Amino acid sequence: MDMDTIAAFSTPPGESGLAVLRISGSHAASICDRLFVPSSSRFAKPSAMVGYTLAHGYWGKIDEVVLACFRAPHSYTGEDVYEISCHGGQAIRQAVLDSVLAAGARPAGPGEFSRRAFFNGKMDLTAAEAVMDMIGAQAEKQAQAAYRQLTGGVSRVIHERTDHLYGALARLEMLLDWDEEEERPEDRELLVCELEYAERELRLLADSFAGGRIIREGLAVVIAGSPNVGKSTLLNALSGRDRAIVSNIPGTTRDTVEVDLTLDGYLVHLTDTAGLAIDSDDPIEREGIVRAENALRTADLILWVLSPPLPPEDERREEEVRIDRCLAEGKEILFVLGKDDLRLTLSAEKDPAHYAVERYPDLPSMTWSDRSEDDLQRLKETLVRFIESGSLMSPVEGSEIAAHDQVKSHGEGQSHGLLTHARHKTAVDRAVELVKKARADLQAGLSFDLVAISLKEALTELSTITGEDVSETLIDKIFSRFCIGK
Amino acid sequence: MPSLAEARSKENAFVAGEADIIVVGAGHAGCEAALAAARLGRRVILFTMTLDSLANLPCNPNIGGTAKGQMVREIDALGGEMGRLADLHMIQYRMLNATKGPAVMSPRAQMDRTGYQRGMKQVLESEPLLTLIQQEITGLLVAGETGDRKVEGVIAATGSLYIASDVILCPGTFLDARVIIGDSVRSSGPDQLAPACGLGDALTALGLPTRRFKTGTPGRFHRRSVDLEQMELQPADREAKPFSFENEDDPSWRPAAELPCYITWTTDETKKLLSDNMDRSPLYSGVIEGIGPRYCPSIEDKIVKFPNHARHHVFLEPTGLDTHEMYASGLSTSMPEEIQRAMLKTVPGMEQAEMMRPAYAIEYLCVDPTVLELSLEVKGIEGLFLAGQINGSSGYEEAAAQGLIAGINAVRRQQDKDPLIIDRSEGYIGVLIDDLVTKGTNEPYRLMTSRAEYRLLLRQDNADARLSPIGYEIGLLSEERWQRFLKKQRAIEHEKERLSAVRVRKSELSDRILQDAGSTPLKTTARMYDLLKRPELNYEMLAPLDPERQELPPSVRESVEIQIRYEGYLRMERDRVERFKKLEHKCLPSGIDYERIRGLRLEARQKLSERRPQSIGQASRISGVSPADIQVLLVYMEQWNG
Repeated sequence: MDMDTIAAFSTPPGESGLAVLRISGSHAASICDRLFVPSSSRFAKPSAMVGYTLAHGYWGKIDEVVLACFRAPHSYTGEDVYEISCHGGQAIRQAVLDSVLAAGARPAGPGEFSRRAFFNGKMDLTAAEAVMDMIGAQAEKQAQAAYRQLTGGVSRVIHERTDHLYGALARLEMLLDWDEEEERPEDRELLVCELEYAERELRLLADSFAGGRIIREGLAVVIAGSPNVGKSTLLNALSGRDRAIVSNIPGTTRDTVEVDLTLDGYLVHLTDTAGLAIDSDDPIEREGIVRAENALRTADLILWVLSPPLPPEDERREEEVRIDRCLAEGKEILFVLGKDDLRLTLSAEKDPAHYAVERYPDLPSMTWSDRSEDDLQRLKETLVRFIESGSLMSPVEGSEIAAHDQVKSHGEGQSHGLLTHARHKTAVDRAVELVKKARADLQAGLSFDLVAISLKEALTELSTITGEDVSETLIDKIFSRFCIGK
Repeated sequence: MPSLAEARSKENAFVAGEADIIVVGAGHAGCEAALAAARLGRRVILFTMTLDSLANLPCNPNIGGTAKGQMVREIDALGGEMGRLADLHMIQYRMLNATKGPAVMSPRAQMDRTGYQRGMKQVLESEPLLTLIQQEITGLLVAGETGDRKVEGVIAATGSLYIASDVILCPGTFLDARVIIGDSVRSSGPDQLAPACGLGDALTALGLPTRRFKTGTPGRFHRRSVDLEQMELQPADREAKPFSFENEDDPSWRPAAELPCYITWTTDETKKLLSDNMDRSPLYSGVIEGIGPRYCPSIEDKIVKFPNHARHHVFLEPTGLDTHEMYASGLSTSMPEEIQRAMLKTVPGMEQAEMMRPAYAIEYLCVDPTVLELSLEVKGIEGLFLAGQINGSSGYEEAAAQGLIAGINAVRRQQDKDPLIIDRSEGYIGVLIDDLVTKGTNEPYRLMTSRAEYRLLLRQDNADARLSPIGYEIGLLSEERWQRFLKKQRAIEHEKERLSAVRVRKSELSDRILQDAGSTPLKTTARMYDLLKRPELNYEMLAPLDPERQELPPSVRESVEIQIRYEGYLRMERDRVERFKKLEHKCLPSGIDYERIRGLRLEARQKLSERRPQSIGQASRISGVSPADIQVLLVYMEQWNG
C-alpha cells in the first residue's frame, strides 16, 4: 500500500481559536524539521522529539504553534504523527497546510488516517466496518462536491484548460501507434509548441482555482436585481449594520456600496449594486449601472434578488438578458426571493419564486424575509458552504456515520473544502511540472515513448479531479482528431 | 441445450469422437489453442469448416504492427506458433517506429498468404495428439443449470456428438456472418466461405450476451493492371529480423522474399465520387447495423469524418509469392461494385486496375467478453472457453494470443492447476485480455501501445525475458529454447557488468569520437556504461574506445544498449509495477457478497456483483468503481482474512 505522508486538519472548518493539522507518515518528522523553529533550545528539533512530547515554536514565518509528537507505533495511525496546533484563522490555516504540502505531504484522502490506523493494527477488526462506512460516506460527499463542481464552472474550466494537453498527447500517441514512419523534425517542433500552450493553460487553471484564492482573498459577492427589490436591505442584514441607505424609492442606491464582513472566519466582500433599471435618463443612475456591471464581472457569486410583484414584461426580459449574460460568463447565481411576507397574497404568475423555477429551473434559490433570523442564518450558511465546497447545493445530509466511537472521535475529513481545494491544487501543480518536464525532454532529444510517460502522468493527475478515464478519453481524441487507418 | 446424457438417449445418437479438449474453428485463435493443448499432452480435436482455408489471412496478409508485433514475440516467447510460421513465410519486413524509442519499435511483416496457411496445416497435421476434422459444429452439450453449468462436448451439423470436458470456441467472424457490398447482402463468411449457423443460437440459449460487430476489407487487384511506376516505392527494411526467438541471431535465417509496397493517393475526384454517392453506402443508408472499428475506417467513412483531408493514402501490398493479387490498403469500402469500379478510375496508377476480388464489409455475431474470467473461461459454464474475434477483438495476433492462453488454461483446468494469467505489466497479452474481460469493448478491439500502462517494459526486444520463464514452466517451451534463453540473458548481464568496469580515458581519439557525435568531450575519465547513457551516443560509435569488446550477437547488443540507456526510466516503471502488483495479487474470494459490504457505493456494488473481478487490481479498472470503493474493499479484505 502507498504509505506516503498525508496531512489534514482534524479540527472543524471555520473560524476557531485553534486549529490542529495532523501529519502522518514516514516523512512527517523531516517535514516538521524543515518548517518548525523551536522557541528555545529546551525544545528538541522535531525529528529528535520522543513520543508524547510537545514543543513550542514557530511554523515557518506563519504562526506561533505548539507541535505534538506521537512516535510510531504509538500513535493514532501507527505511523509517526505530528500535530501542529496553530491559530484558527482561515489565512493561517491555509498557509500552514500549503507549507506542509509544499514540503512533500499529500492531502489525506477520505478516511485515510483511520484506514492507516486499521492496517497498522491500531484498531481491532470490529472497527473495520466503521472505517468502511466512514470512507464510503466521505467519498460520497466528496463525489457530490466534485460532481457539482463538474456540472458547474470548474468542469468547464478544466475541460477547456486541458484541451491542448490532450491534444498534444493524442498527437504523440497517434505518431506512436499509427504513423509507422520515422520521426520527422516537424513532429517534434509541433509537439513542443503544443506543450507550450498546454503549460500556459494549466497555469491559468492553477490560478483559476477559486477555492484557494477565495480563502486567501475573500469571496466576492454581488447583490443584483431590479430597482427596489430589497438589495440594500439584504446587504444591511448580512453585514449587521445600516451601511446602505434603505428607502422604498426605486433607485435609492445610485452607486455601488461595498462592505467587508467575516462569516465563520471567512472573508466576504459584499457589493450592493444600483438597481439595474433600464434606460434611466439620470446620468448619475446610469453611472451607477455601469459600476454595477463591472462589479458583476468580478463576482464569485451573485445574489440575484427577485421580489414581488414581478416587474412588467419588458423589464423582465431585460433582466433575463443580464442573467443569461452572467451565466454565459460562468458566474454562479443564487436567487434570493425577497419580501417573502408579501408573496402569500400573490397569484402564481406574479410570484417571483414561481417565475424563477419556471425560467431557471437549474439555478438554486432561497427565500428571504428581512424579519426572519432563520432566513438570514440559512443564507449565511449557504455562503460558507460555497466557500468551502465551491457549491451552493447543500450536501446530502444524513449519510449517517454509525461509526465506532474510536473512529468518530478523530473528526476526519473536516475542513473538507480546504482539503478538496488543496487536492485539486496539488494535482494541477504536479501536472504543470510534468508538462514542463515533457517539454524539456522533447527539446533535449529524448525519444517520444519517454515523453509520453510524463504527459500521461500529467493527465492522470488531472483525472483525479475530473474522474475521467485517461486512456479511453485519449483514444477517443486520437480517433476524432486524426484520420487513422489504412 | 441438451446435456450429453440427453443427446445420447436420442434415437440414432452417434458419438463420433472423444478427446480431452475440443477446439472449434481453425483460425489463428483455434490453431494456437489446439497446438498448445496438444503440446501440453492433451488429446485434442480441432474442427474447421474447411480444411482448405485454415489459418486464413482474409484481410491484409501481414502479421505484427504497433503493439501487435510485440505481442507476436510474446506468443513466441511462451511457446506459441505464430512467430515461427511468420518467419518462414515473410515476404516483406519492416521495423515500425524505428526512431521513436524502444518502447514503440514494432516489427511487422507481409506474409505469403497461402504459404502461411499451408505451413500451419503441416504443423497441425504433424502434432501427434492433435486430430483435425472438417466438420461444422452447430451445438454444444451442456449439463447443469444457469450459473452452474458444465460443458460436455459439441454437436456437429451431421448430428454426430463429440465428447470433451473442455471446449474452446474460436469461430472468428463466421458466426451468423453476412457480407455486404452495396445493396447486396448475403449470408456468408469471409472469402465466400460458408458462415457458421447454429452455434450463435447455442450461445444465446446459454444466456450469453451477444452483439454484432462489423469489419471490412478492400479489393484485390492484378499486379499487371496497376501502374506501379506512378506510385511511390516503400521498400522493405534492408535488414529483416525474425519474430521468433528461435531464429534470433541465426545468420542463416532469411525472409522468403523482400518485396516492396507502393503508395498512391486518392484524389479530389475520389472524394467527389464517394460524396455524391454516399446514399448508396450501406454504412450510411442503415443496411449495416454492426459496430465497426474506428481505427480501420472505410474510405467513405474517412471522407465523411475528415472532409478537410484532400487525399488519403493507398498502399498496394503483395499478398504472396504464388499470386499476382495485390491488397489495396486504405480502400476498404462497402460501396456497390459500380462505385468501387468508378472509384478506381480516380486513383492515380489504378485507373486500369483489374479488380480480382471486390471490397466488402462483413458483419458477425460476437459475445460481450465481460462474461469471461481472465482465464478466458465463461463464468458459470465450467470448461467452456472463448477466444479470438468472438470476444470482440480484431486482428490475427489478438486472436492467436487469446487462443494460446485459452489452450493453456483448458489444460491447466484439467490438471487442477491455477490458470495462467499474464498481467498488464508482463505483456500485451495481459493488456489485451484484461481490457476485454474487465472493461469490455464497444467496437472491434485492436491492441495499441497506448493501452499499456508500462509500455517501456513491454518491448519487442525483451518479450523473452518477460515470458519465456513462464513458457518453460508451463511446459510449452523446449529445453533447447530454454537453454538458449538462459545463455542470452547471461550474455546480457555479463556485458553490462563489463561495460560498467570499462573506463574510458580522455584522449585524442575519445575527443574526436565524442565531438563527431555532438557530445561533450571527457574531462578525465568516464565509465563506458555512463557514456552509453548519453542520448547522442551508441554502442557502435564507441567501439574504438572499447578495444576489449567481444563480438556479441545483435540481440544481446540491442538489449544491453536499451537496458543501459533507459535504466532510470525502467527503474521508475518497475517501481510503478511493484505498486500495481500489490493490488493485483490481492485476490477477491469468489463467493464475496458485495451487496453486504458497507461503505461501497451503489454503482460499485452493482458493477462488482455483475463482473465479479478476481483481484482488487482488476476491480479498480472496472468503470464505476472509485478509488474510495477500492479502499473499502481493502479494509473489508483485511477483516475477511483476519
